[in-house]
Amino acid sequence: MQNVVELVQLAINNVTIGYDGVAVVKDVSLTLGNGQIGCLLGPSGCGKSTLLRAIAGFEPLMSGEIIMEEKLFSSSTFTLVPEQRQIGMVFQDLALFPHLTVEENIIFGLKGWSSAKKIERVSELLTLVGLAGLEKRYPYSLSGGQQQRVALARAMAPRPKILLLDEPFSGLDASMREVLVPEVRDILLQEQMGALLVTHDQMEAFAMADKVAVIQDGKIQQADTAHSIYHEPINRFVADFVGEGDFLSGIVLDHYRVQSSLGILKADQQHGFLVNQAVEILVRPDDLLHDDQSETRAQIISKQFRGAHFLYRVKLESQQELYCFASSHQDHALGEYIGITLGLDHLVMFEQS
Amino acid sequence: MSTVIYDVNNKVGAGIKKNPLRPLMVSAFIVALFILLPIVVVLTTVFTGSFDVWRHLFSSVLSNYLINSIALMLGVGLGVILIGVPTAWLTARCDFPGRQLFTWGLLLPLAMPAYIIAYTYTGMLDFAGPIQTLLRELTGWEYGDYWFFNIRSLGGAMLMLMLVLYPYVYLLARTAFLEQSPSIMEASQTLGYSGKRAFLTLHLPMARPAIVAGLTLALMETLADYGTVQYFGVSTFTTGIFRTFYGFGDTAAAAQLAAVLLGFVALLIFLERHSRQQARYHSLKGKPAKRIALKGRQAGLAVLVCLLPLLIGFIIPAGQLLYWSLSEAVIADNFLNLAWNSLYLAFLAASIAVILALLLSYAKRIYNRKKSVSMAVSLAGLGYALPGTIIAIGVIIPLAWFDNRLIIFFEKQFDIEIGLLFSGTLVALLFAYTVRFLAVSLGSIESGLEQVKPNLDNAARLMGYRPLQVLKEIHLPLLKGSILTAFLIVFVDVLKELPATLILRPFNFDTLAVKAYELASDERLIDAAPASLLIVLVGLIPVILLSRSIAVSNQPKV
Repeated sequence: MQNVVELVQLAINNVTIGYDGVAVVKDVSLTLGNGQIGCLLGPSGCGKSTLLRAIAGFEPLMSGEIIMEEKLFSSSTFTLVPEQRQIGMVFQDLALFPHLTVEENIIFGLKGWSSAKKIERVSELLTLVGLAGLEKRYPYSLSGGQQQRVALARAMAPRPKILLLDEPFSGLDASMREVLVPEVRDILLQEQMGALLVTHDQMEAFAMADKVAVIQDGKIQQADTAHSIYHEPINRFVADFVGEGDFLSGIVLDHYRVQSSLGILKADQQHGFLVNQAVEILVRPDDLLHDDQSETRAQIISKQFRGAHFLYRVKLESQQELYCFASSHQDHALGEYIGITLGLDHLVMFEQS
Repeated sequence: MSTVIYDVNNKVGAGIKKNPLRPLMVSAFIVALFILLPIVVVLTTVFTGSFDVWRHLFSSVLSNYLINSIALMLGVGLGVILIGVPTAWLTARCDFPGRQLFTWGLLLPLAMPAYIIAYTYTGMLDFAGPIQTLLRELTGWEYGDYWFFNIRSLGGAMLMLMLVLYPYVYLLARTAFLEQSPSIMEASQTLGYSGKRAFLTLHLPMARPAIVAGLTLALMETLADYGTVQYFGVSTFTTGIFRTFYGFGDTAAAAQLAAVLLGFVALLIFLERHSRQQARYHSLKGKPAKRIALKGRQAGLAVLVCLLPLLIGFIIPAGQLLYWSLSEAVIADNFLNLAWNSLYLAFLAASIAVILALLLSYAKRIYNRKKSVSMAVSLAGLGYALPGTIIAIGVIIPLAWFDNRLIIFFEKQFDIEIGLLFSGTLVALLFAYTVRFLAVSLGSIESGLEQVKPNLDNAARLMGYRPLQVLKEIHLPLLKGSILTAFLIVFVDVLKELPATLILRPFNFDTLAVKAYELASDERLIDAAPASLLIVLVGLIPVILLSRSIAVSNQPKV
């Protein structure tokens, strides 16, 4: 965790949410600092959207509290109605009002503003999201990406305290997503608006969020920066769900060293496992380096060309299979043996299951 | 982890109450109960009615009703398929001169109630009618010299009913043909299928569920028909129920006949629901296929196939009605009064149906996690399949019972004589209309509300709008069209409805439909024309709406 004292804006304390007595979100706690962009990452049905809907005030809590800027939003006995929360939300299905123009959609949440200020805000936002000139269009006449931007502008228009994004990019094709995701992050930073994104796509999470909470089965497995989640997953689920990787089996030799089929591996600090315990070591594709000098040889059993690099699937003598990245200049044939070395910075190990 | 200090009592603003009263849910249940009441009443007579009545019915009339009703269904069923499927195929997948005109024109017979087309053709084809008179003048024949088709027969009833009911098959089959993706046709071509073989082995079987669904709708209307079969002297269940109820004053026997009829209807409902599900399964949306351009003789044949039902089912009878109304008919003194009664009644019934449909569909939307609510709503929509005669019997029995209790109560307690408060008044009539037509308004409003995605509500709430404001700003503008459609369709259906109106109308209260029926029964067919024409003209409104929505769905989606 950073040592900077962050002003907590949104605090979720021991929250449990359920339908008909069955808990979907179980005892979840999470905080989000002012202007921070957070992300709830998890497979579908893990409860991440339910948590988001509870923050917006659409789901009551079974227990716990949701507190926004030191004001109680939800508890087991109280749910502040959505219209008094000053929260913005971009919905998965966008939920643009079909009978209103782009401009009217954006103005919809600006009740009580003077018309001059409304017009100013609309043009400011449309410029920000790159849709200036489309004020009078109706949602159906816009492309998917344009509708996305209108939904974002509409949600941000009243300057909400926080913006909730519920899988907002899931309806877009991959190339569109690659353009929009960093763009949305820039827009949020520019408006200095904190946000909480829900997604099942790790690339989205990594590209958007300062802080990622991996959720599985209604519980937060790990909440940390994207880098830590990827390189220091705290359990097998997180290691599996985030990124590609394999598990290399090994036997603990002492407090620092582990014997594996790729030789003896040394941890940079005490790993905390018992001597002689059977463990699994996480190996990411970028941990395994192609090295012609190496004495360890592995056979290529499949390969994918990915433009800038090859992703090889290689088999060791021990029959263990691993992923290995190599520059796309190093084109090897299937069945060929190549030299590999393990370039682990630190060991991520779990008890053998 | 940082500690957060906050004031637990800092509860500003309104929260959601933990156990809110649920007036909406409760009223949805009450509406469903009321709608089910007539059906339950009719069903209980099966078990409570005396065995003697059953035995009498079985030994005397039942077999006759059964045979005629089944024969009628077979004939009409065959007819609507023979007319509906080819016209659907031609307008959906082929191109020929006048195709666009026929696409909506073929719907026009829907505006023509079966009993009205029956009166019209009887007037034209009877011995004294223009056709036979012309024939005699041309040939010099006289009565008995020649054979002429007797329209007042089972065959005549079949013909009349199929002419106005084929649009159900046409509509559903056409949609099914349109939705069959072109890649299926192309795939079949690569596999060596083409033309007739592809039609018979692919397109027709794929459209079968939709055709069956349309067929069952037509058959339900056939079973519900009273005006046509009564006029042609064909004894079916509906005429039997009438005769038993009025002629013999035997409510129990009438209800038992109604229960048997209910069995048939239940079978059709089951078949219809099943086919609709399959139809959804079979529909594979894709880009609309390229139409087969018909030329020369083929095109001429296509025009003929589409023109005949339109001509015989609408243009000729409507033209005849117009001619009679303008030239020969004696317009009743109280015609304006009749029209007013009809419109006013239809307006009231349509308003009730729309309001209840809104109530039910909102209850279903808000309590979407409660199965009991959605079940109550679908039960409330059950009445549409029921013939008006069944509903009338089911309405009059409990209302009369209630009225009698009330009369006795007031006499005993206050020594006041009160008349029939419910059974002999418009209340009974409106109740029956609601039971029968609630499904129509419900269908339109529910599908309209489905377009209003729940997240639209959520988005508006988050932007500071209270629930009632959301209703005004989001729902009302988006639902306007569906509400109007629901209102218009119920309005017209009530205007056309005959049997329930005949049984339940207050004494001396006549509507256009009742007047047309009475004049026709008195063999004053020509004088019945103005009332009939007005019914047909108003009936055109929903048909125009329907044809417009078809025209829209023909355009490529943005």
